[in-house]
Amino acid sequence: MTGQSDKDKQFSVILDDLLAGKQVIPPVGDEDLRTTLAFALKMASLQCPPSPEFAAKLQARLSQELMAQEAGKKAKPGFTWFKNLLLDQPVLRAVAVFLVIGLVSLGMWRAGIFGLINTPPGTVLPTGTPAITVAPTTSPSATITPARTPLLTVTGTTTRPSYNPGEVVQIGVTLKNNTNNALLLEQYPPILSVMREQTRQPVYTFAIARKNISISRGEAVSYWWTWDQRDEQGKLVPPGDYYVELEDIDFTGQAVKLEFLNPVHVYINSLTGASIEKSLFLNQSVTDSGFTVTLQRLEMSGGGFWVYSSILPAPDNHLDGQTGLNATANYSLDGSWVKDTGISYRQYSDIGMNYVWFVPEPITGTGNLTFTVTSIGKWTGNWQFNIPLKG
Amino acid sequence: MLILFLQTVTDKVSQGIADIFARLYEEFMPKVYQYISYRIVDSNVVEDITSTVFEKALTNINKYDSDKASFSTWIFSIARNTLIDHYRLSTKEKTRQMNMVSLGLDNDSGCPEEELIRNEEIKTLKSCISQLSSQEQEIISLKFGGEMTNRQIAKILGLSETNVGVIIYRTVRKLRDKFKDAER
Repeated sequence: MTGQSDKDKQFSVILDDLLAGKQVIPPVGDEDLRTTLAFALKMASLQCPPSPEFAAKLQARLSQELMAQEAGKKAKPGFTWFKNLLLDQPVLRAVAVFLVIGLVSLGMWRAGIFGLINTPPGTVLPTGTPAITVAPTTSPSATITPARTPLLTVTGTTTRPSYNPGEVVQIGVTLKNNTNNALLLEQYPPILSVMREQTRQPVYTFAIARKNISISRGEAVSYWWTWDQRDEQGKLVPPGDYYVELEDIDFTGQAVKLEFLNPVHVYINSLTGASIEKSLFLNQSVTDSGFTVTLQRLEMSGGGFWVYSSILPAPDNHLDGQTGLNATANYSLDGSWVKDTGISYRQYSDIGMNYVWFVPEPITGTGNLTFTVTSIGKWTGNWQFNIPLKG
Repeated sequence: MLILFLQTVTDKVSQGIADIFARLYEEFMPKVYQYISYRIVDSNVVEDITSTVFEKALTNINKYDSDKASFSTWIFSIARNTLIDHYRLSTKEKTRQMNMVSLGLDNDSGCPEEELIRNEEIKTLKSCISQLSSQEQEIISLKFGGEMTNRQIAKILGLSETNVGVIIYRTVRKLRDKFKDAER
């Protein structure tokens, strides 16, 4: 029994290490334990992850619901809104209590109550002592004029609060019919533009085929746009704050203004704060150890350079994808010292992995960049690329 | 002025909640999905239940108390209860059986051979899991789908950590043998 119990423990410890992606020396001499562990690893490799489409749509819907929840709390007029706010936020509740105590104390002091309390017993008050009055406090009336309900409620969302440079941004917009009748919208979906906050100017406008649609009473329709962070000239936009705007949509011959219930922002993170100065489209592929690495492009700036790639097929052991499947690489400029790359990030697709390396060293000169991917997760290989740098 | 100030504060709090929820979603949604997919073979139903779990989590996010339980324990408790509700409401036995059409596995002959083999293995594995007891299925799902430690599983199910370890070992052995028999 003790032996069996030891085996259970040994199995649990080794299994946790295997599932965490650690290198484990398989147990020697116990075929049953070894084959059980091997099968456990097989089970872990046969997982069915959610599809990216489902994940994105669910996240978008939840974001909208969260926004609606928060907006609903703010919209409640007057005391009801204030009461809900205090019930939800304990810190604010505490602040409110202190404020109330402070106000009451101030009122009492102004009215001289503290002075009366300190009056020794037996003191004769002069006649004509005014009655204690407390100035009535009037709170400013917090009337909130309910806004006129628009024909359409427009809400929007992105799948994430922020994105790294080059990542695909998905923008979802929902139009809800608030009227008691069906609405015929002409030329749906509306034209959407991505605007740069700094300049308030559009950087990209989506031009897609549009058609007339009818939305029933109370029904909502949604549309998703995919933006690759490029402007109208095909250049990657610099990091920063962007927001989306919709053009008016025609409704039975009349233009209806579409304003978002809450602004929809797209934040593009800055890795170095630098803007792209030069792009090289590469499209070079190398296959080794069963993986094909394709370098897609090289983006250069004063702060460093980015190498964009795809790796096919997706490494089978996606366990690592949960905790961090690393693809390591090094580089050398014009045959100089070989250096390891720095920050990298990845994005899984249905069939493979998009991988981006960032090197915080600007490329100078116009010679040759040698870029070598040395491992993909636990698989080693030599995926070497020679990239001529033209002036 | 006070109301404006409080509205600004709540705007920032709301944005904070949105960011936190987005991060938790990214980390836990795949695990919850995979946990449910060990128990439900129909991929459409798996998606529906996963959606319900996160909608419930969103509705009750303000009630989550990190002093009482970690977020993983909390979200998987919601997932378990949602699954129980699903089984209770589901009167159709075929949702427990293999439904090849709705497994969402591509049997297109255009798929690479490796993909076909993998799909077959997944079907076989799910068939074997469906033959386990309810408790065994639950523990296997939490371990391999939810990627939970034995301690976390023990806390959710009210068992001892040792007991969970024993059940996992014996169940994996059982599955190994069933799988081998099924492949013959």
